[in-house]
Amino acid sequence: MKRYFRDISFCVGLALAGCMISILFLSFFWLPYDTNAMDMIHKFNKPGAAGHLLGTDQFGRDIARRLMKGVQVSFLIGVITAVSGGTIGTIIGSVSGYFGGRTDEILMKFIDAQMAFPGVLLALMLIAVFGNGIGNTILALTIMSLPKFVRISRSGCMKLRDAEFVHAARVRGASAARIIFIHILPNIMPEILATASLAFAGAVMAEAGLSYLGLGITPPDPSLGQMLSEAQGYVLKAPWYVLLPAAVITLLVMGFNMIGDGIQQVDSRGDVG
Amino acid sequence: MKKELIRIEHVTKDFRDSNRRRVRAVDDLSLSIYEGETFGLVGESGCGKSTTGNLLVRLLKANQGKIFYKGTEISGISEREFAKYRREIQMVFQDPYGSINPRKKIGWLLEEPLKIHRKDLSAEERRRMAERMLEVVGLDKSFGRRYPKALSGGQRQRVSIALALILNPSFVVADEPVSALDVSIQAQILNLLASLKKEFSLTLLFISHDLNVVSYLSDRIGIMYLGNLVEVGRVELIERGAAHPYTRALFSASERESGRGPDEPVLTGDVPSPSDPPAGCPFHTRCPYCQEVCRREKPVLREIEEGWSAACHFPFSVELP
Amino acid sequence: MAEEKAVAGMSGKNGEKAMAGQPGNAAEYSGISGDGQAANEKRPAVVKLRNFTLSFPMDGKLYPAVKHLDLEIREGEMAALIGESGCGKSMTALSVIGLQPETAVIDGEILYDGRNILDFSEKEWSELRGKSISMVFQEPMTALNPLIRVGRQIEENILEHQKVSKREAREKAWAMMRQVGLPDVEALSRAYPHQLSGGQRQRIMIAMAFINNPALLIADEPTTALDVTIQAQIMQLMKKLNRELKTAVLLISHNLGLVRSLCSYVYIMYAGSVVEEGKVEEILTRPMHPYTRGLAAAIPAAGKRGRALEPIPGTVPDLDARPEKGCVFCGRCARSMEICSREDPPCVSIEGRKVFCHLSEAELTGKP
Repeated sequence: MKRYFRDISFCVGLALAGCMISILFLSFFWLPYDTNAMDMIHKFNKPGAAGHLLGTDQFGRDIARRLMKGVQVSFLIGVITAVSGGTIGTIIGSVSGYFGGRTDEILMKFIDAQMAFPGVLLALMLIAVFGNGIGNTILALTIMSLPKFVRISRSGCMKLRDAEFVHAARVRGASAARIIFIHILPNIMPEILATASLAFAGAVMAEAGLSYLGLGITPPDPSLGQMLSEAQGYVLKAPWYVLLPAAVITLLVMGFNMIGDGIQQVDSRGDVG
Repeated sequence: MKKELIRIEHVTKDFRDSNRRRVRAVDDLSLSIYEGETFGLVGESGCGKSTTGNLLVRLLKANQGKIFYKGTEISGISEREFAKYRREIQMVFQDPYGSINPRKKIGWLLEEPLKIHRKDLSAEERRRMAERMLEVVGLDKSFGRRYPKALSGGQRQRVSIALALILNPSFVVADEPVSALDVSIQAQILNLLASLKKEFSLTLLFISHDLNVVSYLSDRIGIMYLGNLVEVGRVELIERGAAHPYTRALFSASERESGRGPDEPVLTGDVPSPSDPPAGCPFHTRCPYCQEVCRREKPVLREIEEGWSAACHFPFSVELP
Repeated sequence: MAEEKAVAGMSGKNGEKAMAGQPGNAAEYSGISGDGQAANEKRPAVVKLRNFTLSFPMDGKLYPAVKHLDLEIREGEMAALIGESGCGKSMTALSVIGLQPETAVIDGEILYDGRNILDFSEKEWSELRGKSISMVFQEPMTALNPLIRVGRQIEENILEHQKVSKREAREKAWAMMRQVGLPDVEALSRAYPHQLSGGQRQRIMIAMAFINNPALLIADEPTTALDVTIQAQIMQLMKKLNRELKTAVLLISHNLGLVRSLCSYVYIMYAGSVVEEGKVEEILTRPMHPYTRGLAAAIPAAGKRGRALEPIPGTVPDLDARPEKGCVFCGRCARSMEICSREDPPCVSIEGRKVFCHLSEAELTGKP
């Protein structure tokens, strides 16, 4: 674990993600004002004015509060996507990689096909069919994130399938499930965590994109992408209104991307220390 | 009379190389290993000695032929049926770094086979057995709490031996267990293997490329070349004067290595590729005594005297004038 | 007198420079030589390591992997550096050709042609490396470029250091490939490394190493990756080229028996220090240092069957666990005394060899 902290990218990413996570935790206990309460007198307040820390939007709603709510939504979507995509993808990938054979070949063709298909388009199609809302957004993003997990865990399992310690476990009578989940997976955990971190960032990004297009989270529930889309009409009048959600998205995505990159970099440099 | 523990009958194992060509790793091999003995299997890389070991512990399945354990066939049965033989047939691996899962503590690893095969034991009993096993192989019981990373090569190989012995098997395949170790550590592990063999009344199949090590430890040895057993017999008979020219070449090369023996290389040329083995005797391309019949006909193992056979048309050949 | 003879016996100006830079060296190695083998002893040294120390920094402290090493290889001589893993033999070999890890901190000097090559710039090294000093690695597959035909790789090596036409380079490469005993050279030179056997690849590596007629060749475990019956062939080839081309060879190996018939002088290393040095035949037949003795006793052989081997207890201490002073072997030595952990062992010269041990001469030789 210590070796990851020697990587600059990982540390910066962790600091950024840490900021966002503390905002998230803060939001569980304390939120200023009311999320959807409109206050037409105080619309487009500058940050700091009239007790609004980050100003207000076109309906006089508190931006700080809406941002914090947006962060909550982003985390909710990102975490569920990364966890469910990671779990399902890893199970499919490692079982397929360990046993190999015909099933593995067919499965990989599916995964290849899905990877060749634009993910956002797939999400758009799903939402078009099932309607928008948090549940369907998560479903779409999970399916989008699957191939990466399948690939990484499959290649890890194929590599370790012939490792001597796996042979040793087989000779000692360990079952296939035991070998995959107890012997192999912990050894490829860093790669899976890196992928999960990247998938989280990807999901946050995709959700922002979908909400921006009005296809993700339904208003009036706040979401970072939606705030961005609402704010774009007032770029000149209230620049902070555009900049703030944009900055939050950027920091969130960058933080988790850097964590993922950091883990990958440290692992590719080999196991030292 | 000695009792047969393992019998291999006409076993053949083929692989496919990257060009999809058939590579015969083990070619029609027949061999018996008797209870309580140490059988040494020697040969150069690619001769099929490790494949034979892997076939015995069922890491690989033979294409043809049968393997018997205490008279029962174990080669044709399902993985589920074989499970009960897993406790009996164990293996020590070559690479002390690769053969131990780096993410698990030594104690956990030692307890794992017990969790699988000895469901009657309580967690406390398992822990105590693991600790006792560590002491048996000459390690402190505090090693149970360590990760493999903190162990030296020699210590890891002791752990590897403990892992093989914790189920109290009767047959152990040791595949090059000391070749990755330094000489001073190698001697420690060889002594340990010899004493544990007595203590656990094991039958040992010792696989190595190093004839010095094999002939030190074994009662009988078999020499493999290109997937074929070319000579097999009691070690004291063979070392007095091997019948097969390849065995003699190996002996003189390893004497060289221990600082005795002739300076001149005894064999010229390379080992032929196993994907394109020569017709006739597999050794004829490098044999100094090769005759017409050797190129044509493959020799079979023939008994020279009791407990000693060689596969050569002209055993005990000497240099022609 | 010895010095005069040494100077007179020298052929090239390399040696002269080396001698001029280091007055008094001749006396030193005549001291080592003692009796016999006079012709060999009088050759000047190609490379000389003086008080060479190579350390790795960890947590602000320096841990020496090689400590106060004195070593020299004379013109046309084959010397061997023997030791187990972690003894520093490979680090020493890499330093002589300037390929030591960048993190390593170096002290002392390595003299080639009278100059300390540890101070060389990368540009100076590129002229020296591959031309005057070359190296053969343990694993030929990783040392050869897998995407270039082996013939081309040898030719490139020639063109890099010699002013010859491409045609001449090819002819030279082919001649060298014949000299290292490769069959059907024209076809083989068009092969890629993966199409050759291990023995053939190592022959290619050797051809490449000798192609510019270097003054010194370093061979780091050149036969360890090969089968025993091939090992003998490669060793024989090294000896043949050493005789024909008069190249000095430093052979790095973990096996003393293997180098017996090849090398004249041998250094036994343990945990970063030389513990014993002398003529191979003598050390092999009558080891004196407790470590060398332990090694000999630990080697299994058919003759020892039924008896337990005598292993050296314990393991080589890790870099950060080695004593700062005293004998490096004292933790594993059955004959260690109180003084061993306190003071560095002195150099005892016995019958033309050097033993670094606190035991007295009588105790070392076993004579009453």
